[in-house]
Amino acid sequence: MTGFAGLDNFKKVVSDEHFAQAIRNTIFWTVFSVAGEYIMGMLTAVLLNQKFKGRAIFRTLVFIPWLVPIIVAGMTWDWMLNPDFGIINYLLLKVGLISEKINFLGDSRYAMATVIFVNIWRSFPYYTISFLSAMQSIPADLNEAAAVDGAGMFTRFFKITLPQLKSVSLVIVFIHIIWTAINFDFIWVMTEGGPNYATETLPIMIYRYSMKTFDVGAASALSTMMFYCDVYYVLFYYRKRMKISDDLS
Amino acid sequence: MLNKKNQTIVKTVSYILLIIIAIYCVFPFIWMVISAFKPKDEIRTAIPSFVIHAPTLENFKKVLFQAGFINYIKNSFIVSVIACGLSMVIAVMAGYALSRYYKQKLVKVSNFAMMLSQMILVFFCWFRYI
Repeated sequence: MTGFAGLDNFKKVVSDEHFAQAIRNTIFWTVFSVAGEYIMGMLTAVLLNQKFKGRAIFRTLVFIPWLVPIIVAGMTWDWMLNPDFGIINYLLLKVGLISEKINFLGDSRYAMATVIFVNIWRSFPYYTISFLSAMQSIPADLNEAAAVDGAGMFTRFFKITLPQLKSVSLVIVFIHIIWTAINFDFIWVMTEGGPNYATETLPIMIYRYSMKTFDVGAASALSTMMFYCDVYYVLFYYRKRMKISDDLS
Repeated sequence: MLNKKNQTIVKTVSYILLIIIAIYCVFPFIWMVISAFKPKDEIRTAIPSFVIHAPTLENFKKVLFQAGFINYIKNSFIVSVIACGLSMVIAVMAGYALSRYYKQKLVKVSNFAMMLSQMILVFFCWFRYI
């Protein structure tokens, strides 16, 4: 067969029965991962920004997950979450939080949540470090003045710390939305997109097209679509960032 | 300002939260190390335990001497040293140009292209191998 395929490859991708689900999964995976990472990162940064004994130790411990290769982290969690031999099921059962063993990665009801949980575990230290360095550049007298004026802990956080972190938040969230949406390795290591396509995101789908069914045409069509979404998104981010740096200078 | 009693509460709560988070972060590694020293029949058991009854170095021996570990780590080392060195040289020069001539059109375009290449899907690279 030769000749110009026209939009055949695109049609094939769009009419794939798993296409809509893959898009839903990608959005779900990205939104919840980034939101969870942001909350965890902010919480740890606030906690670690205080002066207390052993701060250096806690900072090191919190940063460790970011340092390991994804394959190592994925395999370790895979093993710990194993329903037959895994430590997590055993501990949860012993504490009494669950009444029977849960197949976290093998049950389509829990698979996505579990993968997101592990992804948060791995990615939130990056947020912590960024927020922490931004927090340390906030002048201390701002907080002191607010405290003298009678602002409580939470008021000071929402009125002083959070606004000061606006610029770093924007950068880090935008970059992580891309990094998470295109993340392939974590899901592949832990579930390979299964069970029953429950964790199949667009990158996994591209991989399945090209390496499993050897349909490079469909894979390229899907890649092209994703590519244009990405370019559009990056342009949007670029404009926004330019505006912010204009405002700052 | 916070009074003494409130300060103690805040401190205690922070410590408790931090300890929970630290366990969450480090636990997989502790478990990895424990598993590394366990013999096969202790790993595949329905009741996992933190205590190793018959610690063994068999697993390490296998990785080091039978699986070609030395060769792999050599490859990793070569790749990372060369990639790091090359990108440092290029980045230093590019950084100078970008900061010095940032008003030129070409510099603006290449700046944008560099950022784009960072944010675009990794798996495009794979298609080169097909």
